[in-house]
Amino acid sequence: MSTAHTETAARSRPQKTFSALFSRARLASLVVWIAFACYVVPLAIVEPQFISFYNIISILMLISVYALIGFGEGVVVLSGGIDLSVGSVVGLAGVVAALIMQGNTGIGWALIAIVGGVFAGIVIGMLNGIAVALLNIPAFVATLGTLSIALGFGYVLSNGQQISINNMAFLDISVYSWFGIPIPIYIMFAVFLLLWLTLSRTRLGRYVYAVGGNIQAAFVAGLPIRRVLISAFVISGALSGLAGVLLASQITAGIATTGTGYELIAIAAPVIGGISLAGGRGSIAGALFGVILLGTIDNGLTILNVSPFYQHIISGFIIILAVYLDTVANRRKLV
Amino acid sequence: MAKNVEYKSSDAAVAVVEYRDISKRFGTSVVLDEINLSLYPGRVMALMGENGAGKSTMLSILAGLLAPSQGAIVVDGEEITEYSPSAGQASGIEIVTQELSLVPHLTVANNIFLGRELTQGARTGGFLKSSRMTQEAQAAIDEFDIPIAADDRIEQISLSYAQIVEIIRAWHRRPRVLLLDEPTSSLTRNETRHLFEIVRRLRDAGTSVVFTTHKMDEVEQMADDIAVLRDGKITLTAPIERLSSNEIISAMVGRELAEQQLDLPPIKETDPVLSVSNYATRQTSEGHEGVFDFSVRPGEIVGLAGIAGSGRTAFFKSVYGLHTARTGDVKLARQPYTKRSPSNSLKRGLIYIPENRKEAGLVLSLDIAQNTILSNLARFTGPGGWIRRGQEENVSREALESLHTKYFGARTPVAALSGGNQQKAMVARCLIADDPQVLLLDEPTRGIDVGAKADIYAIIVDLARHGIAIVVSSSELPELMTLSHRIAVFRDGAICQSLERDAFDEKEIVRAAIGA
Ligand SMILES: Nc1ncnc2c1ncn2[C@@H]1O[C@H](COP(=O)(O)OP(=O)(O)OP(=O)(O)O)[C@@H](O)[C@H]1O
Ligand SMILES: [Mg+2]
Repeated sequence: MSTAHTETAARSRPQKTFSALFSRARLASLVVWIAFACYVVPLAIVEPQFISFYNIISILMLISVYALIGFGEGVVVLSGGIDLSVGSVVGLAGVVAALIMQGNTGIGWALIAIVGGVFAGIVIGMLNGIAVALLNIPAFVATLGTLSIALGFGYVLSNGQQISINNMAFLDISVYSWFGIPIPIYIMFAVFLLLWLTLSRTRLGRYVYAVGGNIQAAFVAGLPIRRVLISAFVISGALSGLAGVLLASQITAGIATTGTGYELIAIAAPVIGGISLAGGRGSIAGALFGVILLGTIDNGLTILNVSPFYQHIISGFIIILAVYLDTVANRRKLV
Repeated sequence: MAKNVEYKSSDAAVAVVEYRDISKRFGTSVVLDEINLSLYPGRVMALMGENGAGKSTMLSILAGLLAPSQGAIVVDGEEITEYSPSAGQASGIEIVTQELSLVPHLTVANNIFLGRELTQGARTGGFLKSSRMTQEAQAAIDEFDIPIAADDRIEQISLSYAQIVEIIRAWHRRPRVLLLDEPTSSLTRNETRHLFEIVRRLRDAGTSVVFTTHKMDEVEQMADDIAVLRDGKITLTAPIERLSSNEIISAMVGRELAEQQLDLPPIKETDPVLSVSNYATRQTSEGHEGVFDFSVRPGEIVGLAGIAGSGRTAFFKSVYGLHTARTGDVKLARQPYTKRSPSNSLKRGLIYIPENRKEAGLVLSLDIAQNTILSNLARFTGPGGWIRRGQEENVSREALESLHTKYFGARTPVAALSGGNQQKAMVARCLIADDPQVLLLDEPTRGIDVGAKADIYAIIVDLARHGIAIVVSSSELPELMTLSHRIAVFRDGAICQSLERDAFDEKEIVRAAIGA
């Protein structure tokens, strides 16, 4: 039996040697990495502080918030959808957390605030999921709606003011560190690990890929499509909520508009990392790579004293370039 | 009117499932009209009917992909209440749909186990036993003796292997009722034989199998019982022994079909209109380039034979300009044709009809008329870029009607057409092309019913008579042998043999195609 097996496998892939190793897909992500190295290495030589421990930590700190929303967005995109509401959820979650802690000190209230912020995200995610999965509203439209709704709630709850946070336990989240590494960075990697395992090793993860890859096939196979879609949006909402809480702790206030515009980064990161906007293809590691790339470039440009205005332009070109490489890699081959 | 014999396969047998007064409407069009039919364990039923008769709809309802508008499905004597794929599977009903239902980015093993993953621990959160599933899937694949691996992704394998993977998936779940909607339409003979072996084994183990096909010989080989659908009504059910193929056909089309004699026109004694030389589309597995020459003259019909994956589609696509060829020159009307692209090809009268209508042929969201004239929009565009919609409708209706296409109005979306009728819409597109010179037809009759096949043959011959050069590939050898002046056999990406009409020999062609 086992010999028959290897024989069949061998027949199907005559040259699984050199050419397979350097298949176009690998090559393209290789190109992105090389381009990345071409940027990092000279920069590190010119500005040694760029690769100092302190700077690397600050890059990771910067991206921990982006990473969380990028991960959530990655899950939604893999399932074939898109979530535009993430930025507003970041703001809303911060406001909710700040309100909970108003006048309430102590670690207990800090925990309640965290749960409250994440819960706000889950509610919006649930709304998105219901609109898309049960009411069949296209994800782009549904989440454009909740983008506005979440922002509006943020304004209403905060009365358009910034709500400052005095709960020391809460503020400690972004100050306290273990072995020199701040807590948000641990959180980012923990969430990454959890999602990576879920997507690659569990049934739910497999269903996310299947629904995103071919929803008709998922239907015929009898998959719980609605539950899968709702789960994806709830994950995205919850992670945006968590990101909002962390951000509030960094800026010591809840502000409805803190996350405005983050959806751009949230969508760009997974896409740069090779997650297909058409759904069903890519890995959450790609989303992590995407935020690292974007964060490093921003940071490097800052160190080089490039005006933030130019940084936007440069990031935009990088997004387009990375996605172009991805399409080159996945061009259909001859039958 | 055909006879309608009420019978039981054996007196002791109890039906596994029954259609009880099932009707299905889409909007105002009635697609199924009070269907009553029983399926028995250990029997194979062939469901026959013209394109659009309602076969796929019937199977979809049984599998829970569609809910009936009226009536009910009865499983083990009880009416079922919920129509969903998972409910169907829970009753032991598995379907292989006419259009592929696989997830392209996932592996073969993942697709085989989709919805039935082996996990450890909790049902939904549980971790997948990936290597176990890959092993089991590989074992299942090996039963069919096809050269794919369980961890190949679907997008990497050919259409016919993907079709087999779907069959393996359904079979692997040990269904009580197995529904196969045109399972052989993209299979080679050898693969079809394997499929039939498996179906026989399932039948002997007590599974009830229903399959649809447009090929009479398959029915004779495989079926115990026949049911014929016409315009949403069952016109005939009987055990195969009691029927002749003429009876079946007349129950399908409602008339006797005249025996078809194709009268091939003479080939114009001129230079070839299309010729390729030193051509290769890919590196062969041994690593050497299999280069070949090929040409076709005006009025000539050349058939391309070969097993699945032998390189006919790649040849078409590279000549038409969808892909680049590895090496070689193409000449069109004696001019070198180097900058090959679909739009340049169309400008020069080189038309290609792809084999996979969903992927490469039709824009599903556009309506029928829009699809039919898609490549010739310029002709229907007035000053200022306005499309003449009336003309668009008339011309496409004419083309569709010459193929007896069944549809509800030129403005319905193509997605609502039955599989075979979508194929006709594609063929119709090339009928209205501007001044065509060369037609490349890749499996033009896949999924098309007997009557319409005859129509398509007649149209191909007629086009040849008007001096158009035609290259047609087909997995049905008899079809190529009736239709072609010459047959070129592909193997491993290159033409390995070429036979003139008076030297056609089925055995020799098969031998050349498999390299025996
Ligand atoms: N979603 C839909 N909306 C409207 N009409 C539909 C839809 N699905 C199918 N139909 C119509 O129902 C009829 C029967 O379709 P069905 O696919 O069952 O035919 P079929 O017998 O399987 O044909 P074929 O041999 O071409 O596969 C067709 O006329 C088709 O146009
Ligand atoms: Mg059908």
